[in-house]
Amino acid sequence: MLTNYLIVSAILFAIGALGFLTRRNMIVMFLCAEMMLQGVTLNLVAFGHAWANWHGPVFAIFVLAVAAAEAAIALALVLSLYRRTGTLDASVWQALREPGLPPVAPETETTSPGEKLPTSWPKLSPAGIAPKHAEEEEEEAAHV
Amino acid sequence: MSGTMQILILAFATLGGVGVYLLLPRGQQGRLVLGLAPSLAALSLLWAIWGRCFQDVEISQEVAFYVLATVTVVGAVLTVTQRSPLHSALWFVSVVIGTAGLFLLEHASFLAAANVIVYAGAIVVMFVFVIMLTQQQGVAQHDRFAREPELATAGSFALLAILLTTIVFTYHGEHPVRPAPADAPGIAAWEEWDARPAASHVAALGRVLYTEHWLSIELAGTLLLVAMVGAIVIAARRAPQSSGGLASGGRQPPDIS
Repeated sequence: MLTNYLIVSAILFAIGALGFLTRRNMIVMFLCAEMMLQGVTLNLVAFGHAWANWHGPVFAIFVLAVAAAEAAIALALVLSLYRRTGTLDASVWQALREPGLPPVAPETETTSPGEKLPTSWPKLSPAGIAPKHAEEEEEEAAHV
Repeated sequence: MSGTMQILILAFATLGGVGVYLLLPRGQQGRLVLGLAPSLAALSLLWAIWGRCFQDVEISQEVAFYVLATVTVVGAVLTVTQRSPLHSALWFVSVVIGTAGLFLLEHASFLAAANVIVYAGAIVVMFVFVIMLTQQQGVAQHDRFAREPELATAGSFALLAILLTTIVFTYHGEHPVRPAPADAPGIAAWEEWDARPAASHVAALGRVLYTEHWLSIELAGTLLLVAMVGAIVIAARRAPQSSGGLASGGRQPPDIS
């Protein structure tokens, strides 16, 4: 029985690590860190149960408290980073890397072929004549 | 026995890695269906591994474990692979609930309740608040493209294979999992320990917490207070409106100096 709990906690830890490494949204990265903590907690409780020892659950309670504190601080930091750049993308901060290193993510937006970017045009009230979008104006300017 | 187990673990890690790699966001929507088949195959292999590790356990406990652990693992995979961060947060709730159920199976009733209250009730709600505060329209570019999915998947599933091998071959089979009751003073017999009502578990946990660990409790309380004050200070401070601020929605890095 202990083995199975350890297997579940190992899976939670590995998948959390995968998400932390590969996702670029800062909020999802912190969710994945919380998932790794869940795996560790499950591990502690399973060992505590297997050896009839109360120190496992006690450790798990402290992990819970530290996770709550960490989430509060991390989300405040994410908010303040978002206020600075207007995006949650962690790779925007690759400008902080050491000089001479290649960029870890493309500096400009990329799309795969055949994929449509979600666009958001300004919403206008139906009255009056709709103004032209910037792209159309540019096209007209090019024709003239 | 051990050879079959090793093959099972390796096959599980390989199939799971392929499935999660295909499920990870990389712009295309069509690969979602493609990643489903190896993921489900990996899940059935995982069931096989669990089935081989059960030893003289009641069938009800076994069924409960299968259900809760499957909810946990599937929720974890979907948390990582969902494109929308809001969906990720909601799937994380299923991870939390599954873990709380596993805690209950391990007679840690207080921790199960605390897990649901603190994680699903407080932390995830905080995450959802921040997502609502920051979410732009549509799914952003950084949510549709994972960073280095090949390397990350290979690395973490290699780690998973090593962990599973170590766990299974250390704790399965000949080793007695529990020491004799004589090694643990205060416990008459394991059956009695397991059969105690939940209230006495909570009482015993509280006794240990407030006698042996009273200093740690005080420190944890202080840490929570400091974290709360720090979060207020950090979040309430107005950031300097640099050139690439909210209005232009630019991706350029801010002026760090």
